[in-house]
Amino acid sequence: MSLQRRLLWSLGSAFLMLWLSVAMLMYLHLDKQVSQTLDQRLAASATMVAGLITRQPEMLLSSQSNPLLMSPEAEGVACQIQAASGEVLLQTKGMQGQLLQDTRPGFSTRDTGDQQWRLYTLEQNGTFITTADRMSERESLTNSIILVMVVPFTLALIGGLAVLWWGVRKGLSPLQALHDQLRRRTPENLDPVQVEGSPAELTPVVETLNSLFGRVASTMAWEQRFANSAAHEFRTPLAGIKTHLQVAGRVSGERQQQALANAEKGVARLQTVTEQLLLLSRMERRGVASCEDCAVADVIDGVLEDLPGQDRVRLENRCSDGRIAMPQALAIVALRNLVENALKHSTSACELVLDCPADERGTSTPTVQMLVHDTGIDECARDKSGIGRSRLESHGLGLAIVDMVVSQYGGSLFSSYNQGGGMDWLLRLPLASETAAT
Amino acid sequence: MDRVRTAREARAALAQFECDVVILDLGLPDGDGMGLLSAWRRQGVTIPILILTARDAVEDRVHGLEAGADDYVLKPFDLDELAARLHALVRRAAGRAVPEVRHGELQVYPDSGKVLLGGVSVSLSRRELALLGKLINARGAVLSEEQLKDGLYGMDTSVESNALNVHIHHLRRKLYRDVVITERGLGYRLGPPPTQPKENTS
Repeated sequence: MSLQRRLLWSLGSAFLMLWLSVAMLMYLHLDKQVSQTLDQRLAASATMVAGLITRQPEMLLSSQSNPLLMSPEAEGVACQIQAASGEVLLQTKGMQGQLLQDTRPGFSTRDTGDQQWRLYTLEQNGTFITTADRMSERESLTNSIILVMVVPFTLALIGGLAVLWWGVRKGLSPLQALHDQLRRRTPENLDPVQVEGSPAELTPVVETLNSLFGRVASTMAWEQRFANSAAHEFRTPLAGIKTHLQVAGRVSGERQQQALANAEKGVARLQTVTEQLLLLSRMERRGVASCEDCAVADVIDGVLEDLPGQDRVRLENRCSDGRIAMPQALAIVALRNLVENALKHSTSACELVLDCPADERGTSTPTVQMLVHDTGIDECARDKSGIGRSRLESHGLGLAIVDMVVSQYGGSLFSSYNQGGGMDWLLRLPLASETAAT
Repeated sequence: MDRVRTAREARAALAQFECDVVILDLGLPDGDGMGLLSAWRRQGVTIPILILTARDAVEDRVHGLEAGADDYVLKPFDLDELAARLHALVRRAAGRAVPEVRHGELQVYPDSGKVLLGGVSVSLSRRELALLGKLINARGAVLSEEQLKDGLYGMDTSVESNALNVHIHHLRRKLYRDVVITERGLGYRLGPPPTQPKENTS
């Protein structure tokens, strides 16, 4: 059941129950009040007749031949005056004298024929003055009064329920809008949700949802880039190998040897990519790593060892006493990928600066910083618009591995364009504690 | 064939040199090839472009073709297939439906590099064949010396100043004198078809 229906059901039921209870109480109270009022009218009428008889006692004497006082055939208060002997001295038409023989003072209800009467008898100087109302008249009067009360009451009840329905719908409309948007949304749609007039209670939900959509979109984009990079890194050398082998099959002599050598280079590149993917896979499977540490200087030596184009690398600072809280092999892989990317995406004439300044012991999580700086493409060929600058997402598989390594060991990787037109890659790796270092 | 490594270099190369067809890899170090393709098409570049990429998703292929690519080939590819596709693109761009080009008694098969004049095979060098193909694809239009040099040498700037004249001379000698007509001050165009086989072999 929807929240709106649940609210309407519970509030409507409570509203209805409350109003019906009030209506019932009012009905009972009104019924009692009307009955009492009519009883008082009877008593007042009897008292009034008694007063008349007291002032004009001859009324009783002159009425022997015709005891009919008046004729309220259909409605109104009937009256009967009896002597102590039971003789009817005076009565209104319609009163059944023979049925009122054992009249006693006070109120009583009595059936006479097909009608029910409400009686009041007053004793005065040996005469009994009885006034009576037909119960049907009393009930009719009561019903008329209740009907007058019920119509506006019912209208108010219906109006109240309508206002309740409108209020609940209006109040829940932002929630309904969110529901509609989410229901209409296709799984691949990760655009932020927009809710007009979002209440304060719903704002954190929408913000959290949009933040989640943003993270999913970012992850999916990253995975898409990673898949594209992986496909590129795998299929490009594969295409090269295939092409060179096809060429080798069609030529001979030195050209054939050259084609085979090129194919071999492609195999080497493919092997490197495979090793990197396997490393990535192992890291994902293994999760958080051991508590090994290594010296920064050893990591730098490991990076520069056998690095193609290492003569282009200028080392500014070795941070020789620093130690990193991660296995040496992984630190080397991370830094080497950065250096290789920088070499790959900058012209051969440019110099690459590897800078390891003093570690940041003052911070809450001490780190060792390693800056890989390149000057991008050829300085003279670069135009002012920035065209030709390397982009963060275009560096392929290597950076995905660096990112994975640093995130698993609590490090970080920042990139920015530098003044020289190239890029700065700042790698922060966690500093090993003193006890571990010793 | 000339090769550039980055999107920036590709942009500069296409702005400076003429070419018959572009092979575009989408995974460029300084940008996405798809953006480069879209930019070229927006600028009115009509050169046939073949995307050669590792991205094999259907949406990538559709996106590439819709962005203006004329063909989409996945890595790894077959060398012969790629060559055939490139020839087909050049042929279509020249408005031809069949590989064979007939110019009177002159028959040229650009795919195989075979040239027949009056049914007799004529041996042409790679440059001569490229020059002949360029003139044939121009369909009688005058091509400037730079356009012909771009077609022959691409981005190679170390070309002798008279190299083009040497190739034209060789074509005239091997085929017939009027195969290349010189339009003074303008350039060169394909001459009328030969009326007789080997009109001039001197």
